[in-house]
Amino acid sequence: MPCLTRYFIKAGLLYFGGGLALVFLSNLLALDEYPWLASATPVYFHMIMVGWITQIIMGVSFWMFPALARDNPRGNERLGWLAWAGINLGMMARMVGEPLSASGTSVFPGLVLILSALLQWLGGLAYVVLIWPRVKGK
Amino acid sequence: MPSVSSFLIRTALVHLVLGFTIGAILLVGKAVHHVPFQYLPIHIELLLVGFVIQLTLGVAFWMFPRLTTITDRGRTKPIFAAYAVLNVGILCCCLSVFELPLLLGFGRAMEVVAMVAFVLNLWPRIYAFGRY
Repeated sequence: MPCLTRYFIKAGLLYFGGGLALVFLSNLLALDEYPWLASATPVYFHMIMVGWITQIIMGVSFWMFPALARDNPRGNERLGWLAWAGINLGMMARMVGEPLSASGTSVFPGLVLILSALLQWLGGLAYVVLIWPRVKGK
Repeated sequence: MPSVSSFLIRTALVHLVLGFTIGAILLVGKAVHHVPFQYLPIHIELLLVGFVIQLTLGVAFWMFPRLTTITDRGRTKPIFAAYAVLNVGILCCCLSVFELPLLLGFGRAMEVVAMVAFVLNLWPRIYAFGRY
């Protein structure tokens, strides 16, 4: 298994555990008393759908999809690392920005959310550019 | 990789880019306290059905055990038809947010038809090791 795939899958597992813990907390605690938790619904949903499922898809496809060429089987790996960094830094920015944005009106949380949007979008785009040439029919 | 799988997976990747783009717009909207919530169903539809489910179906058709011979993955024409119907369904569900509620029902029906076709085609390929 390539190193990049391991990073995708292990990060995905962390988001899976973290997302489930946040779901558990949301169901356990009274949301009125913890307003930051009330704003966590989009966070845990994206931790599971982007952090877990999408990263697992990215990691496993980088590993298992048909080779590009004999001397360069997986394409430009830097794009893969860009995708990994974009998705993970973007998700972390979102995990910080969402509760801050819900609890105040200062400019800072908004900037964090914009940064998160940009990073995740770049990460997704880098993955598609990397994997596209390896999706080829016979 | 069979060509029908490459069609499914490449279309899923297009949906990923579109879904991430709309998601980024929604998140920027949240940052400036002006979220265009009417586009949220498109974001969910593109990423859940268009990306995750479509990519899964493409990989399943490619990777599941073959039928009686080493190259036999079953008939591809129904899968191509299901691919077309699924994407018409996704498009209809996305367009339904523009105050076209009838398209939502039509789109969902298309998606169900496509899923039934995929299930019927893939079902015989799920068998215990060594059966053939």
